[in-house]
Order: sequence, then structure tokens, then C-alpha cells
Amino acid sequence: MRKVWKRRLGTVGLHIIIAAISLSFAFPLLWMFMTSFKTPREYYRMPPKLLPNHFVIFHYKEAFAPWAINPNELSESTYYIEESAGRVESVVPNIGNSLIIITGSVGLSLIIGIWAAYALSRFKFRGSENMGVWILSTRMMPPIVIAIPLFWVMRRLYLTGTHVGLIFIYVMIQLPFVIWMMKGFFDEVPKVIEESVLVDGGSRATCIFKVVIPVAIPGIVATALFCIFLTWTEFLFASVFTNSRSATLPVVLSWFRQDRGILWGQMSAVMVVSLIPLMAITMVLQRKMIKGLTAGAIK
Amino acid sequence: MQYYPIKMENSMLSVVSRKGYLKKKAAPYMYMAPTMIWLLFFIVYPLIFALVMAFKRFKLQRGLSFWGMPWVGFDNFITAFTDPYFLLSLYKTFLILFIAVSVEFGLGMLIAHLLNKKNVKADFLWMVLILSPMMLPLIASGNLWRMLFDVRWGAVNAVIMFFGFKPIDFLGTTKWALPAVIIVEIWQWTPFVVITMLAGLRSIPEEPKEAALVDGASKWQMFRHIIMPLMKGQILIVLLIRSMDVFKTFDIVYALTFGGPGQSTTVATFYLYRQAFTQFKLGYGAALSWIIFIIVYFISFVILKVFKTEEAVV
Repeated sequence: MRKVWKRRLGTVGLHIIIAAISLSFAFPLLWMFMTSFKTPREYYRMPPKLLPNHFVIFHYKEAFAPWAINPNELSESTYYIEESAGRVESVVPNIGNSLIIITGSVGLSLIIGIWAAYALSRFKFRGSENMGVWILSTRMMPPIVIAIPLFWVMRRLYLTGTHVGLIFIYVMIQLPFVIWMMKGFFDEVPKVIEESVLVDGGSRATCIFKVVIPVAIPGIVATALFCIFLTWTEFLFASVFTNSRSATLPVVLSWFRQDRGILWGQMSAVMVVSLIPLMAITMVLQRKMIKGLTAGAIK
Repeated sequence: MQYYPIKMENSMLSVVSRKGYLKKKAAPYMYMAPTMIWLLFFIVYPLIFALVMAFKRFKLQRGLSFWGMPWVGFDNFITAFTDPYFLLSLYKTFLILFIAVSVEFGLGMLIAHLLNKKNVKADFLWMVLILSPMMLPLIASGNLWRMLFDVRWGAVNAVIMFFGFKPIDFLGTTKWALPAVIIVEIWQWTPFVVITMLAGLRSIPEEPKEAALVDGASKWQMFRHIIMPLMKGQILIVLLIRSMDVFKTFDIVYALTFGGPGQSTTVATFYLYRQAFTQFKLGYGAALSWIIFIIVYFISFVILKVFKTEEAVV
């Protein structure tokens, strides 16, 4: 009897420790979520308080639909520092930019990468090992190292400040992951069907489009989601290669710091929204994500 | 009827027709070509370009033209190794590397162990909570912690004052700015260590653990001699990826401190960014890029050598 109680107490203690750790990891995000509903007077309160007195959606309107703001709403409680520090325009076009660039780059890198992944998965050819390792090792390079020469190249191609330029660069970032993840998924597709297609006079293209891809669809979706995870948050290249019109979401997040202060409320609102896609993706692919993050490091 | 295995027929076909044989040989290279061209153009070409540029000096009055830059020999590299600010920034980077990676490693291992206990309920919920920092864009986490670290109305100082200490101006003093960056690094990347380690822990078979228990091994002995060797792969991944990513610590510094106050949080990549994109010393920046590039490759080489695992292929 006593032993049982001791064990139960141990379990409860363990859960308290785990809950404390997980809440302390999630706490900053909770704070951000709450700040997006606070008025400036509340988030500049000393000492600070986690919960706002009442939830105001003013900052969300400010960030996404400034035209919907009723001037009478700008009472002293909501607008305080905001007006004096200026306001960032609606971020909806920037979300559009992010979506265009991500869709374009994920599509393109899947189109390019699937062929290479198929080759690495199905053929043993001269240098196949080395090529695979080399493709993966490009991930090790700090991106800033190639930022300078790329800036030059992009200028010569007149691609700075365009969506296409950033799409090309993101394809470069995503390719190693696409290839290694897809290779893993292709390896799991049995070869027997393909061989019979080949014997019947079908081409390799038939194999890929009629046999392998339909079977590996879940894998392709996981890979695409992982690519979104990689580039949705990319800041360095985005800040170097975009201008004010083609800026993506992470770049916009650096704009809220203005001369006379930081627009905390509006910024928090945008950050909360920018978190949603990644939150969804993480829920969907908890397990597969490890596979991507540690792609190919262990064979 | 004689039955031939399919593989056999296939290879016979290719021997019979010479054209088919060539086609079969060339196919994988054709499939690899787009990827290779892409990576050569966007990674290898810029790297070589940077190497050439490292021996030149950028002159603003001649515009942004490659041939307008005069050759300066090894000047840029000599300047780099005598530039106290660059050496300082390298020192800061290594400081972050050692402190952040070791704390992340220890903490991540501990949390993974707790989550791996058999009597843990609702582990999905805890995982989502612990993984949540990973979902935040790095630039946003810099912004967020700037808010939390504020000396007057930040949450961190509220906690510190709650325990009766004096508030700390994390971002305004040279003494505390670097620890602040390290704290954010740890917060952001421990989840990655947890998720990898947990995957490793769950893949360990039961038999060696039971055998050790029968032989009367203590918990520490079990951890040291059974679990650690079996998780060599995961440990390698964590060390390798994290130490490479410390050299990508750019967004956090950019949003949190912008390298200040003074030079106190200017890490190597941020120093490079400043030299190249705000002071337009493009030649010097290219030289710094190559130095950083070589350091990163050297570190990963050392880690791989230390582990000496044949199966690791990064």
C-alpha cells in the first residue's frame, strides 16, 4: 500500500517538473500572444502583468486592415505611442509576397529535386555516394558567406528586389533537404513494379510519374511542408534581396523598430499570425520533422 | 517455361543494344544535372567569386563593377587577422558556441529523459509546448525577447524583482548583453536537442538495459555505459548541427541587440554583415566570409574525427 502511494507521488512530482519545464518554454510565446491584445498603456505597465484588462483587437486591425479602423476608436487608451512613432502599413501584401515566394520555391525545388532523389535512390553510378554527400554538405555553409557574391550575381541578372530572385535562392536552400528526404521516401517504394514497367518497354519517366510519385505522395507532402518550415522564417537573404515592395514577412518584422520606439502591439499581432502556419505544420509532422532536420546525417 | 528473374533480363537488354547501354549509363547523370547545375551556380560559383573578390578592394567611386576593383594581394586577410574587432567577434562566437551548445545539450538530454519515463501521461501536449520556441521565426524571437528583457516593463525583470533582486539591464549593459543572447539561443534551440534525443532514446532496444539491471548497474553507470554509446549517432548530429548553426546566429543578434551595446554582442557573422552591407567593404567582407567558411568546415571535421563513426556521412 505504502509503495503504491510512493510511486503515485513520484508520478505526480514528475508531472509537475515536466509541466514547469514545458510552461517555461512556452511562456514567452504566451506573453507575446497576450501583448498583441494589450493597449500600449498596458504593455508599458510597471510592474508588467500577463493578462490584459480587456482584450483589444486594435493591433490586429492595425496590422492587417488599417482601413477598418474607426477614428473614434483612437481614444487615449488605444493610441498612445503608436501615432507619434508612425505606423507600418498593412502587412497583407507582404504575406502575399511570402506566399508567392514560398509556393514558387517549394514547387521548383520539388520539380528539380525529385529527379536527383530518384537517381540517388535507384541507380548506383560513378560518384553517386560523393554527389549525395556533397549535396548534403552544402547545408553546413553559413548563408552569409555567399551573401556578398550572390548580391553581385543577382544585380547583374537584374533579380534583386524581385520575387524570382528570392525564389531561386530559396530553391538553393531547400534542394539538399528535398533530395535527402525524398531519397528516403523513394527507398521505401518497392522496385518490383518499376522493373516490370521497364521490361514492358516503359521509360524511366513513366516509372517516376506513374509508379513512384503516386506511391510516395505522403512523403512529398511532408517534404513540401518541411520546406515551408525552412523558408517561412528565413531572414538574411530576404533582407538583402528584397526591397520595400517585395519584402517578406520576416523582413517586415524588423520594420517595427522605428526611430522613436518599437510598435510592440502591432509587432506581436504580426508575430502571432506568422506563427500559425508553422504551428500547424509542426502538429502535422512531429515525427517526420526530425528526419528532415537531421537529414542523412546517419545512414 | 523457363523463368528468368526480371533483373537479369533487364541487364541483358542493355548489353544487347549498344545505344540502350549508353542511355542507361547516362540516365542518372541526366537526372542529377539540374540539381548540380543549380547548386554549382548558386553555391560554388559565389564561393569562387568571393575568393577572387577577397584579393580585391571595393572602390565606391568606380561603381559596383568587378573589374573596377584593384587587386590588393593578401591585404584583406592580413587586415582580418590584425583587426581587433573581428578577432573579438570570433571570440564571442566561440563563447556562445561553448556555453550555449553545452547547456542546450545538458538541458535537452535531461528533458528528453524525463519525457521518456514510462509513467508520463499526455506527452503529446508537453512536446507541443516544449517545441513551440522552434516554430517562431528567429527574427521574431529576437524581437520578443527584447520585450521580455526590458529593464522597466519586461517580464524577466519582473521575475527577478519578485525574488527581491535588483533589476538587470540586460540589453543596455555590455556585461549582460552577451548572456542575454546566449539565453535566447538556449531557449530557441533546446527543443531541437530534445526532439532528437527523444527519438534516440526511444530507438534504444530494451535488452542491454535489462542485462545491465540484472548485473546491478547504477543509474549513472547505465547512462554512461549503455545509453550514451547507443545514442552516439544522435549526439553527433546535435553537436554537429548546433555548432554549425551557431555560425548562423545572425537574426537573433540583429533583432535583439544589433551587435551592441558597443561591440559586446557583435558575433562573427554580424560583423561580416556590417562590414559588407553597411560599410560596403565588399572585398574585406569576402575575405571574412572565407575565413568563417574555413572555420566552420574545420570544426565539423574535428567533431567527425572525435566521434570516428564510419556510418556518419555528413
